[in-house]
Amino acid sequence: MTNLPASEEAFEKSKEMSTGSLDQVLDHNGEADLQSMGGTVFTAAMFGRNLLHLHRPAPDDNDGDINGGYWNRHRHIEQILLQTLLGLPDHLRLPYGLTDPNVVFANMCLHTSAICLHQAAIFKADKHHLPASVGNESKIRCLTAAAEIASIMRMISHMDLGVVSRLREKNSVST
Amino acid sequence: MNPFIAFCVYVAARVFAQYLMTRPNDQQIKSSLRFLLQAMQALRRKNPLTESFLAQLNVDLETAGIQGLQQKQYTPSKPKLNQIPVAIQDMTESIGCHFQGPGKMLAR
Repeated sequence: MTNLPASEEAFEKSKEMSTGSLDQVLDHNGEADLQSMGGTVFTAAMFGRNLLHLHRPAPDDNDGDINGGYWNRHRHIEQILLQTLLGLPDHLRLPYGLTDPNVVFANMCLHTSAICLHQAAIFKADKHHLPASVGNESKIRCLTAAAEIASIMRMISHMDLGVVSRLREKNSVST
Repeated sequence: MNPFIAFCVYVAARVFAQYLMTRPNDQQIKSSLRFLLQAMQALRRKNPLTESFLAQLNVDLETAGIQGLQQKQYTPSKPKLNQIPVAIQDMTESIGCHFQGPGKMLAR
């Protein structure tokens, strides 16, 4: 499976560095080895999982059953997200990694991923008249994640958002 | 910053908008939503992708019936600060065109 990228420093200085694979981060608590670029890769993978989870239903999904395929998958993705957020290494946490645009973006995307997952869950819970606690729990998760995004946005609002753009950064290096 | 940061901000703003449908008097959430809208306005200047998220968010806010947060419409041509108002144009000629309008004067 996909191997994750090394740190910026190792890349620039052509140093050898061992990084885990995407599979290790997703299923085997490998998030401690994540580097900043790997964080972006990981969040992209989570968005992809979310997309498949919602738009490629399996025959045993049984949306109305809280122990059916859909809800099991929901809990699995939720568990990966939570476990990653809990186990993030210090250099990928905020406010320590505030100067690295990849770290800021990865943190925002993890919360966005949680919102996307739970918005769908709220809708499904409503549609199939599941116990109110299911929907309420998801609503609270959405709200806390949204508050977290707003808080990150407040943290980075002092920076010039255009200047730190990845595309511009490359231009300034080459000139 | 990654251009897709606008997506994260949009998703968060949408959650706040949905919450405000049930509790319209939560001022803390309201101010967070207002801030996210401002952030998107700021992002738009450097990141054109934000424009479409902002348009979608405005539709969401309208359907949610949230008033008092709508931003002023985008006006590409802002009135120039150093333009001399018509009313005092004659006066400036009489004092030898040294008057350059409030913008420049402040900058000195």
